[in-house]
Amino acid sequence: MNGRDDEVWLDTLLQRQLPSGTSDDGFREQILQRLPPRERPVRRAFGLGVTWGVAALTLLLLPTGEGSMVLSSMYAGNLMVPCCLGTALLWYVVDSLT
Amino acid sequence: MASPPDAPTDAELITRVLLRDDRRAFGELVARHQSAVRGLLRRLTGGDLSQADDLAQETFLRAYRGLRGYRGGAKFSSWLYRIACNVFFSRDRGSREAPQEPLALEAGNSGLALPDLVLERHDLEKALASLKPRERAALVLTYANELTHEEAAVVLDCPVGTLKTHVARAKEKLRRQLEEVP
Repeated sequence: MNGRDDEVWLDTLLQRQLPSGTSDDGFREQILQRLPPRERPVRRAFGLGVTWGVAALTLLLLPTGEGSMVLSSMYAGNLMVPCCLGTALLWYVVDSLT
Repeated sequence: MASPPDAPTDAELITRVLLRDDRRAFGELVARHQSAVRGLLRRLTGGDLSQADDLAQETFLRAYRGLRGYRGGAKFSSWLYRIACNVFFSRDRGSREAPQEPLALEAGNSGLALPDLVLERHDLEKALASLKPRERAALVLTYANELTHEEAAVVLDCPVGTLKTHVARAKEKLRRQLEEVP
């Protein structure tokens, strides 16, 4: 076999061995299922607002033991940090569930 | 895959994905390019369908995550090939301890003569598996995926001269190995 024939033979072999065309057979659906969850900025912001509101109201309306609500007492300021942390935790849970 | 004349272009589908996170548009891109990408990876993995499809899934997931990085300078298919090759190279580096062997021919029909084409294909896969990953990729991209040397060089992120060297070296190795086959 001379050099030119050799070249042609190898080219033919490579092209024949390497057929193209693979049917989808559910490949697209598998990819779509594995995509990361959608970004939902509006829904997330809404979830944050609602969670924060519910958490704040719950804490502020707790009775203090002096017959008044936290809302109207001097304890409200002291509860700010735990309230924020609790809200953040609650929002994280709500966000991962929705 | 050929698309109807009024079908959106790849660029339009990409824009939809980027602007609205349109999953259907991304699905359409997958449908259009899955055959070529899976075919490329099947050839690179020596015909290992399961591994090739695994790598193809990884390729499309990386493409989705990195779609903002696609500048549109090269064809979308070339960009996908580039990701596919990188996925293959990184997997290949991870499993370098276990040298890649082509899948064995099924021995179930031991009494029957296998068609020449199957034997030829097996010999070629065996020879391809002995090539270095970049040489194999260069050969497969230029022959099976029918990319020009310039396009293949972009995919493999190397100068055209280096790509041509990879192809020539790979062909020489193949020729030598196939000549040794009885």
